[in-house]
Amino acid sequence: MQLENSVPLLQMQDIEKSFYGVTVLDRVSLDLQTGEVLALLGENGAGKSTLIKILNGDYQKDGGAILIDGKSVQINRPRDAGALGIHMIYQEQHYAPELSVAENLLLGNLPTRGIMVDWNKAYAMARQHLNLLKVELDPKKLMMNLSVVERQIVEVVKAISGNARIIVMDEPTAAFPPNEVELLFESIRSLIKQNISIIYISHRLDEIFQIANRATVLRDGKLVGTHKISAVTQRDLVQMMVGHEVAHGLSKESMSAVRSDVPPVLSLRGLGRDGYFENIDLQVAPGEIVGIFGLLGAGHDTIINAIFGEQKLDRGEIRINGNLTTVSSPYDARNKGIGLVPADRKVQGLILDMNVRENVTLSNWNPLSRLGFFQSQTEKQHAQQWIDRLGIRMAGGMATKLRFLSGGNQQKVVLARWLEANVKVLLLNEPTWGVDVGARSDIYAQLEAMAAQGLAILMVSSDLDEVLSVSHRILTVYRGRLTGQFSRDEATREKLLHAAAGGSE
Amino acid sequence: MTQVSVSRPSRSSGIKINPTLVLLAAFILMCLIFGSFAPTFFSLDNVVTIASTLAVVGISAVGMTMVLVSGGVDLSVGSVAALTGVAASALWPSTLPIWAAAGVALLSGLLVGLFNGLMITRLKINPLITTLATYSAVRGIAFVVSGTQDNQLGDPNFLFLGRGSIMGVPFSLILMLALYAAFFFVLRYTRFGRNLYAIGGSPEAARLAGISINRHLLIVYALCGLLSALAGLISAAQLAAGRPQAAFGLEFAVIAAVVLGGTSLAGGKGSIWGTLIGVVMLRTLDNGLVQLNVSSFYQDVARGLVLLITVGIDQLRLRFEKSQQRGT
Repeated sequence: MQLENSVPLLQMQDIEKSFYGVTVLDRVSLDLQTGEVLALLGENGAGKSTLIKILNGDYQKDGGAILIDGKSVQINRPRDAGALGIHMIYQEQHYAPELSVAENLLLGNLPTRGIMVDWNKAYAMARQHLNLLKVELDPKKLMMNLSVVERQIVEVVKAISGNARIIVMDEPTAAFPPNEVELLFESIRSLIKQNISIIYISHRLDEIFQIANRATVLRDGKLVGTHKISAVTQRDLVQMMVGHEVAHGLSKESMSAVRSDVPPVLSLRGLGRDGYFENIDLQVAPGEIVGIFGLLGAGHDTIINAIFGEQKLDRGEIRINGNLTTVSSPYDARNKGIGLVPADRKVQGLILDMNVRENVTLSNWNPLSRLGFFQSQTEKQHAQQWIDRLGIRMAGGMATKLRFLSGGNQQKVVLARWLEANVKVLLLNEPTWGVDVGARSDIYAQLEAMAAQGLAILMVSSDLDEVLSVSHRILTVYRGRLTGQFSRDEATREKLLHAAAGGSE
Repeated sequence: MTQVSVSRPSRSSGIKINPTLVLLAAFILMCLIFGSFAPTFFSLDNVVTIASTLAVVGISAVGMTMVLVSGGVDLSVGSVAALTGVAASALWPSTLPIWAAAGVALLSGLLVGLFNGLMITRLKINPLITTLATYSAVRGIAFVVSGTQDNQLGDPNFLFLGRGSIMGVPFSLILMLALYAAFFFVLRYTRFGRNLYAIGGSPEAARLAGISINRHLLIVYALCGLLSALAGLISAAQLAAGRPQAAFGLEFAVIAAVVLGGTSLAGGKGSIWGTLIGVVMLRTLDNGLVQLNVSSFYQDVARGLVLLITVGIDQLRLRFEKSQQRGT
């Protein structure tokens, strides 16, 4: 990079911050060159968000300095950050769904003629802004009719139209279909050409390697180091984030735990739903983890939703332990020993205002109650058992509301609920979406352990590494049909991608 | 197993304020103010007077607490209360003995509740609209059944329900407190109660956790109807008559008391003891203002202000707690 010796656009030096005596940032430094993408990495709780919030003026630093173009600046509130050309794009999108793209872009400054909005001018201005990123989007379209990616791009356009020099993206792709990530990357490359710099936060390391120039890694509020992406491997970065080697892949014991001598726990034959999937045949044996890999929109998530009774089924047979059955609702599914860990844990998985204990025991009641009244001591013991086994971490014990847990710990709670419910079949939809590396390996380890005790697991995922590391067997889905079946040893990234993209073997 | 980590207050959250205690403190303050201006306020007679007027709002509020916790609302409680009194008085004494008449009246409340529940769960009509419709329709039925006039309900055993007392304690109050104790256990220690909080907190997540939402909501609205019917019978016993315009505006008094007690209109939050304090507080406010000879119009104003101030303080408290929890 030719810019390395010039004054960095942004320097954060020895930033310190503590909350109620707990140090969350311990002299962390970071620098950002003009026109580069800097990845900011770390597990949940490493201090990334706090650092970014200090940059945006949401929090005040306790010590250290922030320099822009080599000059010290004071950022006391988000408005100050905006004036310095710093713009945040958050994971949760903030937009007005019923308004058009143009209205969202120009929110607060719609051009007027007299008291009327000058629509021609508004659309022309919006088009001009969109052209900055060479985005083909109709400014008259309503936000709610755009895809998640398109909305995110509108956010980016909004940022650069506000003269941003530094754009911070916090998990921008968390809600993206994987095959559309490239659209955002194109916008980012176009931003870099315009000398705008990006701080990019993501748990998805493959993205970092595609888009970032350098990576700054934090752990437990301390700076671990900053490295050129070209000089490190994914493994190096993971090790820096977690602090130790992370084991991946199934153990020998788990491989031998698959019981092929007894009838499969879950057996599907000719499953079909008009417009979604067709002719799905598959079996999951006790102790087996079967991964279904598909690109988004392939219909693979609809399959498990249908098995759970959440979506209707037009054709086909479901057998549990060899007995023909039908599943009419999630309630029915639970009674038949089927559990589902849904993709969107915040909306579909958890009661955010209930505490850890209550969320863990929500689906299973009988062992906890006597004469219809439940025994709080028994309940606490059961919850504590899962907190220990899964390593669920929270500030205030099991009475902490789910709202205050990190994504990884929230996901562990959803998983614990179904394990507590003692289901025979566990369906997983994108089980580690937006979950940090450490929690991810805890979750994998627990899945493996539960499978070894005879649980049948059917996992749907768009994450190749995930499917490859925890499945005994992998199926691929393309446009609602199974297009390939691979044993653990046969499966490679190339083969899976090929089959999931509809290629024939 | 021995654990010490259970419900240990979180280290980072500094001060924790118990909302029920705040409400209780406000209540005591209010009583002291009334007591210092109206000498008769703390007299035994006056305390008994307040105690004997709690049951109608209080019993209906038990049902309403469950409805609000589950994320709904029931505007038909006043109309149901009126209908039950009218129904009992229309059947007694010519058609049925008093307890049978009362039983049929309770059943009519249960049926209105079930109807609400069915509309909400099967036809997916918004609870506000559903119960606004029954609020109007059931009141209309009450007028039709009664022939628009009061019908006497003079059976002395029946009157005991509203006017009797055991060792100086109003019977209706004893009944009400027994119901509060029972439903405290239902909400706190049964699967049904726990599930209501889950449904109110996030219907989507509750459904995907394998909870049958329709079944729970049906029971909740039926219970609310039944409890409001019981409130209606107590009201009729106090009036010694079935009166079609009885319990007018009851739904607002009940919702105000429940919300004052800390139950969230958005669902998923609330406690039965909070409701009890809310009921007692609003009734005491009414009584205190009467003692001070404040005109009834100002009483309405005062009731509105107390509700706004209390809920407003609660919102501030929530925001304070959230800002303390953030950033960990």
